[in-house]
Amino acid sequence: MNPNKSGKDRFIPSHTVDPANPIDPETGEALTVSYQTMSKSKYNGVAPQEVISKYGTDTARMFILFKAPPDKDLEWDEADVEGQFRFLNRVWRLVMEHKETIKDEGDSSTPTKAEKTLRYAINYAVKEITEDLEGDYQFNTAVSELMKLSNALADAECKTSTVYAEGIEALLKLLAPFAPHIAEELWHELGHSDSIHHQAWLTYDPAALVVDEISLVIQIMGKTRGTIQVPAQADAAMLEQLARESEIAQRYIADKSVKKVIVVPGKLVNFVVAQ
Amino acid sequence: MDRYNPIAIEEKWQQHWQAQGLDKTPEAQDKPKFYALSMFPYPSGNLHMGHVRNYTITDVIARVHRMQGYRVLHPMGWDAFGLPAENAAIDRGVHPAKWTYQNIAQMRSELQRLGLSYDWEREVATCSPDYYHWTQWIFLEFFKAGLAYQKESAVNWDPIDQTVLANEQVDSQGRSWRSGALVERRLLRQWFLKITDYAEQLLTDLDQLDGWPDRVKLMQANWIGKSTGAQVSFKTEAGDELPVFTTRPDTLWGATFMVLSPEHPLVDALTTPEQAEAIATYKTAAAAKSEIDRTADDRDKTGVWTGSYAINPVNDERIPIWIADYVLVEYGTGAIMAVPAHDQRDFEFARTFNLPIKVVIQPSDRPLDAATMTEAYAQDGVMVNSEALNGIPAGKGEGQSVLAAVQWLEKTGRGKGMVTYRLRDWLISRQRYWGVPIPVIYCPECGIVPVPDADLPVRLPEDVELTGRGASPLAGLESWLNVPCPSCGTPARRETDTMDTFIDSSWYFLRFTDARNGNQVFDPAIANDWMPVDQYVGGIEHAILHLLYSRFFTKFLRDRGVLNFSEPFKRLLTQGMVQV
Repeated sequence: MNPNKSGKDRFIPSHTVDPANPIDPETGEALTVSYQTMSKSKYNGVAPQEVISKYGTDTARMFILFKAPPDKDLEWDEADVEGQFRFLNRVWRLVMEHKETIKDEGDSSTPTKAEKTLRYAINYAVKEITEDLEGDYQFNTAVSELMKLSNALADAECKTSTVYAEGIEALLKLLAPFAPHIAEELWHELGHSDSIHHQAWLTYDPAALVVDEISLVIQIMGKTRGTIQVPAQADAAMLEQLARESEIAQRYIADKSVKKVIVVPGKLVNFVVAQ
Repeated sequence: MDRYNPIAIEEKWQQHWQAQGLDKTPEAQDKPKFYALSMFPYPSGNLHMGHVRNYTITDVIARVHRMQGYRVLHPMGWDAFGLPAENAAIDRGVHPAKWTYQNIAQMRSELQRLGLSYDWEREVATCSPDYYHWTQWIFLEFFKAGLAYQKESAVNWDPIDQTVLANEQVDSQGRSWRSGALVERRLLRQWFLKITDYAEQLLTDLDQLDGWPDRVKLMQANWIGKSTGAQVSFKTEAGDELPVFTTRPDTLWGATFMVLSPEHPLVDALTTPEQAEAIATYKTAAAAKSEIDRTADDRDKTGVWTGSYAINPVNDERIPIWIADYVLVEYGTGAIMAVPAHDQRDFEFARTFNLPIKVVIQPSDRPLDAATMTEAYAQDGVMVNSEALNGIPAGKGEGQSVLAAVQWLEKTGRGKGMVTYRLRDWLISRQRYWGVPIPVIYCPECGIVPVPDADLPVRLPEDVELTGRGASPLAGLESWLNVPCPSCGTPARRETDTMDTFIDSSWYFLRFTDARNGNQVFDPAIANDWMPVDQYVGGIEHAILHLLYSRFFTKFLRDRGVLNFSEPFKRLLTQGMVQV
């Protein structure tokens, strides 16, 4: 499309101007500083070629998709570009380490807690990313989900299991539309000879998203005031949040300041309040 | 363990995918179709981050749909005609075609480095004769349908680029979008496309576009600008008709003067000898102003009395006829009735020139006095001083004054209900070289003769000299200009205007479906299979014109029996800007 330019503002290269005292180096006129769309005539372009030769296309794509929802303006930020480069490096190491791991023989009929937790994370990522790619195309939250799945894989305590191997392949398939080159490379590293871009998109298993629940005891000053149902996988921070928000706790701590919170994962949360 | 080395693996896979034809559009029909399209770029030679963002978004959408089992069409091409190439030729002496194709080669290689999954076998460039052959064919379809016509009209003239500009190429300061020059107004004979025939469809079909941002639909609706009202004929004392369109026919009894555009054809006849000099001076001054300047709300009102009167048809009162530059000859009838009590612009004009003010809507909470009011009253109330309408609540709803006034006008034969649109016909003539030649021939015997289909394309001659001054370079090229008339053989001349480049981009999405067809614009069966575009991605700056024109072309080609659908873009994503 022919861009419809309007207005005839003049632009001065920023390296010729002192940000503390912005004046035109030639005329001495006072200047105003403004955020503008990138273009050569405004001397402000981050040239795509520069970014790509430094970090690669996949990183540039990931940054663009992650930094803002597609219909919103995006502010260039080198630190966030590096953040995406580091993420792709983590994916790279995760897959390379997995490649060298000796896998378990056969599959166990009763999955361990670690396997169930990982299966949940995989299916959750498939569900969320698929939904993010429908409707409004929320690529930024989809990339967040990719990062969460990568963290779940890194933290998993079942790295030799079949579930873990499935998780690695799921991560690559979900990553493929965003960062097509690294996904293809790692897919082949895993021994595949066909293209990852010819693989079918994943569907999630609703059964894997059913969360096991436990009863959590709520105590105020060491005294049991009731119990609530919480997800078995919830970590300490999540347990504290769920307990704090519960009706039982609110009844006792609503207008008091909480001095201390004791969390015993899988069992209880105790609030110490000012008397 | 190998380290992540993006540069090495990215180039390796790009070459491999290309060799394997990974991104070719599937021929088989066994899967549901998905057409993903980014707005194609102008080949400026400079790929910027805004492009990268747009194309990455569309690429992810295309890739996900392939994995989800769709057959995906994801093409790319070049919106390659336009002024920058011609200016480069003037500034640097490089031919526009050479400059453009060099830029295309440069940008294509940059795009290929981005890992975008395009089917490059469908690449089109609008400046290629293979493409503009069919742009010309579509123009002739408009001509055959009576929707491409010539008209002498006031146009925006860019005194630097020496060309006519569309209204939308003039910014809010009345300056050219490109050269920055203050735009002048001139009368020239121009080609137009009759988009106004499609105004109502273009408006109502917006309701079908569930996948479009509301703000884009609103911008289109405002641009089309439908208003409902009545046409009423005032008469001059000499007996000439002075039709006006008004959205408030209920206020006719409050009309105390009329205002004509300085360019209105009756102005000279209406001007009395005493007023002749003042009118002539005012007309000259108005001609030099831009439309934006003339219609700005905040400027002081200017005008001159013609010396004549008109008869208000509802009450036979004599009211003075003025001219003022805020009335434009292209809008409505070029004449307005002024109701100063209830219209702010008319009120200011009446106060400036001490013209009578007559209240016809009384508010319920306080009495309105024409002598003391300080601004026009434009709200609800009850009709007064209006004979047939007295006592009726003022307003546009059922049982209110506007509908009652239309009924009364039609019953008494003094006027009729009418719908008008702000949208005007599309001026497509450009006095430029680097565009699609308009394929018609002027024969002294036959008049305007369309170039026969067999003689298309009318090729742009390459041996031109571009100076950037004067008329179109094509007008000076005798060898190209002179041709025998296709009908009678009499020596005749080609049209030297080229088309607005917005025409090139109004149908490229159709060509992509069958991009290599040498025998027709595209195979209708193939276009109807792939269309509409399932996801279109581009900048908000194209919210009005490009999208409106594309919708217009689609509806027109449907009416010519070529397409079987009415809207080209099912879903639209307007991506945000990239800022530093």
